[in-house]
Amino acid sequence: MEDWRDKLLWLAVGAVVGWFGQVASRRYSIRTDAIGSRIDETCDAADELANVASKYWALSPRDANLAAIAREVRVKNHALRSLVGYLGDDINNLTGFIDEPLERLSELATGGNFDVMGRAADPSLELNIRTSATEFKLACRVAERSYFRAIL
Amino acid sequence: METKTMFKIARDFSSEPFGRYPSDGPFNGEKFREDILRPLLSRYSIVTVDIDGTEGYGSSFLEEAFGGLVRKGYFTAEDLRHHLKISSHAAAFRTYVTSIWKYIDQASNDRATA
Repeated sequence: MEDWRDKLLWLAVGAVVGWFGQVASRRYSIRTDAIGSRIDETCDAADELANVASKYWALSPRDANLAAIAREVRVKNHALRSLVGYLGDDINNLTGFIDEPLERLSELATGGNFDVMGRAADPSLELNIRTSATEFKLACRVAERSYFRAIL
Repeated sequence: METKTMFKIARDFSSEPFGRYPSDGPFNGEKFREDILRPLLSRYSIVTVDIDGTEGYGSSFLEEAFGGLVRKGYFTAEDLRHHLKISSHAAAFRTYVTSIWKYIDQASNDRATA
């Protein structure tokens, strides 16, 4: 009789432990998915900034669309920086990985003579901007991998 | 010299600051530096600039406004570390704080090597 009682007790303990394990694994999976998609979103934002900034720097200073595209660049730049800011809440030490590439991309896109009336068109910047965007995305992936390795 | 003051860019200057020089727009970096930052830093011992709430900043605006304080020889980077505080509570604006100090240090290095 006592033997059965022990077996039942262990069965109950096993069920509770299993249930907790399942909940923890589901929570872990939801969190990793959320961070993974936030990083994807951040990488997409870097591409969007690179696209519109390349367009901006290729325009002649007399182009009628210059001011509108400059504004678009500012908005995309801010969107990227915002995403990085929020990502920083999730991933510790993120800044160590992506601060420099972010600064480089942002500086190339919106620095120098950006927003300066009569600035010269500089289509050669496109290559640098796209290279910086790629470096930024690579740094994001390194940060992501390092984060997942640390919590596993 | 009075003690401290707080200046909120979005409320007290513009929610859409952009451009480097006055010819680029009404709320440009040079105007912010000459009309706001420089006088405040001369009058108060601690100036806190709250950068939250705007439509964002281009590097050209930030470099002209903050880096320009050192580039023009008004203050040293060391002075600014003691008297200027950049405040941001919103995650969306956090990365600009790093940029501002980077422009200040860059201007300081450029002056030292010039």
